[in-house]
Amino acid sequence: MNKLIKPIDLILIAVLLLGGAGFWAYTKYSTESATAVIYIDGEVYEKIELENVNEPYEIELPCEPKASLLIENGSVCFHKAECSDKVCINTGRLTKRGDTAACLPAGVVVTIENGAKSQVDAIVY
Amino acid sequence: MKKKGIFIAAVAFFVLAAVVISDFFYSHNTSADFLAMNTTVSLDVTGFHSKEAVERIKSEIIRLDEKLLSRTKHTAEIYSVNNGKTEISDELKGILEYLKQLEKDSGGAFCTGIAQLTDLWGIGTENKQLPDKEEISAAIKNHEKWQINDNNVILPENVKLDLGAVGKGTACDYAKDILSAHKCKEAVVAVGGSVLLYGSEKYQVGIRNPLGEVNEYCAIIEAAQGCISTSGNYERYFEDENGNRYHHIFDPSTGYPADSGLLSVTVIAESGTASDALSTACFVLGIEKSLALFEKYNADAVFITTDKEIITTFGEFESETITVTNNNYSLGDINE
Repeated sequence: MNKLIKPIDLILIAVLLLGGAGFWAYTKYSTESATAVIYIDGEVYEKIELENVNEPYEIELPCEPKASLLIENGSVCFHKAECSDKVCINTGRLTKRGDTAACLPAGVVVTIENGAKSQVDAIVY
Repeated sequence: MKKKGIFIAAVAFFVLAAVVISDFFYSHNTSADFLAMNTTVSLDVTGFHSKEAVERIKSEIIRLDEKLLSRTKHTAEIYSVNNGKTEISDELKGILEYLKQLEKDSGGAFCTGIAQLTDLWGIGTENKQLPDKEEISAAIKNHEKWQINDNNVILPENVKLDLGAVGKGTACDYAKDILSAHKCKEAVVAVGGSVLLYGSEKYQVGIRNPLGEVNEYCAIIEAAQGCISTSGNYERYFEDENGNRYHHIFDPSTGYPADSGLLSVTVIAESGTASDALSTACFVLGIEKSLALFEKYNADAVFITTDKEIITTFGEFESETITVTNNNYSLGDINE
């Protein structure tokens, strides 16, 4: 009975470890809400938390050719663009972490940071 | 009893601290999105040196485009070669020799010497047009006869090089070397539609729905590390007044957009340059004539036919699997 560590001590250590590990895992894997990050010419132009959007609205971007985004609760998409190919508009709505759309002629990139992860790690096209 | 409590708490603390610290160092994640090579580049890198790796990959992709591969930027070697300079660096020589080999192995279905043809059609630009037959014949004359002799490139008259079909895959190869040098744990690097999967994880990669929006996929490949590229008839095209569609992947032997019964071809290979070149070549060749190439380059492919069948070369014991996620498509058998 004079052993330095008794079974009850091991149980205590295990409980403390589990509690600590649980807290650490919670802080590591809990996701912040989805944020649309808008880059113009490589610089961050604006960040928008998509969960906080109550009413859809449009943002005119200061770029050439002109382009605008439609911001909705949980999603963002290119709405209007004066570029010739319209690839940006054809990209559709971005909703999941890692979703990205770009208007190359206008130098605009929009990407979703945080939030729920997309089902895929990448899309080949 | 108090000392014992402190001892127990200390043991628990140090074990947990060791786990958290090692996780912090080895699972440190850095991501970046930027424009380069006329496309979007997305980097998602995990590892102790992920930040340095991302910075290095970014600068290297920009250098690759501006100093080496672009045929429109005056600072690039390919631009100079197309405008009369013959001497090239060892770096470009290595890339061009590999491309020459891919040209030979594909029987010319992949060809870098068709810049004149690309310019003539102008697909994806404001100058898009359906050229005359004579103009097309002139544009493909001698396109395969460009040569590398030591550190010199010899171009026949009217032949210019266009590395647009492989530049993004080559960028993936450069990224892979940087990730390895920085001992990164895992990464997904997407240079436009060419994707590098790096590390021990299994990744889920969506194949774009050829008949849908850009971010819409119709099947998911589960694959381990390697490079994946897709060539499809939907990315750049125009339609004439009769509704005929002309896309940007040309059959170098005819000078017209390839018509092999496919909507897209996705290739998985060890090298990004190879996966890019093979996806183009296989789109031109069609399923049957492509098969020998996969054996030679230890590659696999997913074909989407105009009948909306998805056909893979995945063997029973290979690590890749595919799941069709869009009801408009069905899984076909390569042996049928």
